[in-house]
Amino acid sequence: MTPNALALPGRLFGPGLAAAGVLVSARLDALQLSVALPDGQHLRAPLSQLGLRNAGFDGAQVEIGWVQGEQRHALLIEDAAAVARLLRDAPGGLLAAIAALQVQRRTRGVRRGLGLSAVALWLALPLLALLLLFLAARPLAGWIAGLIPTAQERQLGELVFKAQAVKLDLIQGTAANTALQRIGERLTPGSRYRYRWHIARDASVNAFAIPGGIVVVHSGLIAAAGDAGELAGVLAHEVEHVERRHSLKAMMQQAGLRLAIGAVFGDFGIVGDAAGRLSGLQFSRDSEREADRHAIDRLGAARIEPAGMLRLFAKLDASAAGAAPPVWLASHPTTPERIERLRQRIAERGFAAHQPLDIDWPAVQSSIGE
Amino acid sequence: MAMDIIDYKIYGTETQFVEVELDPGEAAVGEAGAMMYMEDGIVMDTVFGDGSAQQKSFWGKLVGAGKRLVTGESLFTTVFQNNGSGKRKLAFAAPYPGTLIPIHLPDVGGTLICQKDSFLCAAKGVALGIEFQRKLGVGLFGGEGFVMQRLDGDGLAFIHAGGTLYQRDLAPGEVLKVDTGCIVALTRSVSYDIQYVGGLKSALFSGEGLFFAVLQGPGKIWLQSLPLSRMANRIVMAAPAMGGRSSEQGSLLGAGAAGGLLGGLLGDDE
Repeated sequence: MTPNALALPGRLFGPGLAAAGVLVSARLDALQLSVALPDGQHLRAPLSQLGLRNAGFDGAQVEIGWVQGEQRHALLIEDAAAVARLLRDAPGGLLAAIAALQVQRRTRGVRRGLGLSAVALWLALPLLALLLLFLAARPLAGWIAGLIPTAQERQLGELVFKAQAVKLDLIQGTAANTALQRIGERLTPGSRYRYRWHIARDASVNAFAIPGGIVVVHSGLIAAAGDAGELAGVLAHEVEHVERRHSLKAMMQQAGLRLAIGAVFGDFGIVGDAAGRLSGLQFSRDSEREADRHAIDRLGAARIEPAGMLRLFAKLDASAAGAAPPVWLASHPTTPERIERLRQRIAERGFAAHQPLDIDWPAVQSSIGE
Repeated sequence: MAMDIIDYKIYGTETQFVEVELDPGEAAVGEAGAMMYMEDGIVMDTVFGDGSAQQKSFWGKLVGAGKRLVTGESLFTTVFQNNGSGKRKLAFAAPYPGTLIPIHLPDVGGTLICQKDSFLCAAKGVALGIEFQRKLGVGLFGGEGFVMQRLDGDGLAFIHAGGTLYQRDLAPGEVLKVDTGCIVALTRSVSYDIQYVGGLKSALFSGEGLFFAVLQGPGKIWLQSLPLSRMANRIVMAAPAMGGRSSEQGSLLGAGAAGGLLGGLLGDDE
């Protein structure tokens, strides 16, 4: 026996042996493999005749096979420690075969890694797609909204307005209506929309725009505005909402995201709703900033003094102090932030000579009885 | 570890049950719901885990139960113990038509890997474990998923599968290609791999699925001739509710010559 023989416990298969194999102990030295059978006999095979392969249910075992005459034998090394020993300390004559086994084992490991990654990726794909959609929601919604013709937008606005009009107490035929019309026309020369201006009796300081060019001003806003310039500031802001199709885009984004969230998570109402709503609010805040910025430009183009807008916001800030929700839950940016941005915009733009609005403001205010 | 040695007798041909005889103090473990009858004196006890003697600690039991949960079986195993004074008998029945065979675990090297739901009952002391398939391809396309059941011990275990169960000894290096659904059990020494059937035509129209299981010896394998899923498939296809058609019924109702002819020409292959 060579001193550095490798002892390998294993299971021997071959002709005349039990189909489930026989437990044997084998020795591998520099010349040959020698297997001690339970009956005391020995099977021997020179190294050159041995063939090695990864075997067993999960390929973790090593089979040492050899053919003697017509008889084919296989020694299966099952014990993991013995397999490791064989792979490490095999005699030189088997180096090439061992290297091939190692390569196969490594490849299998890499393949399994790749496969598992592919499976994981496949499972994560809907989530990734959703994330991507969230990130691209705004440009995407803008692009889709751009495909909708103005005529359809006007029809949609008409529908929305009809639904709203039931709840609105509209004021008609007063000096305020005329003034509103005049300021509005000055702000929207050559627009692709046919604007319609309405006053609703409502004490809150607010105004809103409906797709297609319908702008509704609350009587409270006219009462709060110190002069026609302040009203013009708000109108410019609302006109920008219309011109930039913000409502339409928001609708597209909301509908699209909700559909996508539903598709990925199923009908998980609360999660989907909350995510969709938060994203909608973010969209809304971005839209407000955009409308503010371009409203300044619009006022400039109409040669109306932009300071009126600032004055009105300052009043809003003073009246609504302390009641604001956290930024990420608000539909509008905070008023101080808006004022600051407006100031910056006015400063960087610079304004040429203004042309005053020739409106008797106290008469306007008294005409709506506020 | 001392295994309980049990005597048994298998009844029936196509839908079988096995009657095992327990000496006083002996016990058998069975799959929940498989018990058919038991004689007076046998006490049934439901244990957490697989009831094998080596899992004494709570955590060991928990792990055993968790493994069983992974294989899709119940968390509990039912142990039937003979507390009487004489020999007592009890029987376990197969859940669907097929064959029931006893496997003496020492004859297969002490470990048997079998498909998840083929285990019926065993002598107490046989450990019911799971064997994870480490080869991704086999796990995904092998028909058995990533988890198979593993029976360890030196006692007797009974497994059951659909149709006729066929045992085959694979000599070293001998290769057998098998429909992936037909594998019931194999010894650990058998190499298990899958192979693409090859060729688009075969893949689509041979009806054999996309992959074969390739089994390479040495070792023992057990195949079933009729996987339950295959039979269920045929039954559902033939069910009138699914648009299936019974030819006998057709002739009884007098479907007409044309209908009969068409039916004959285009009739099912069954």
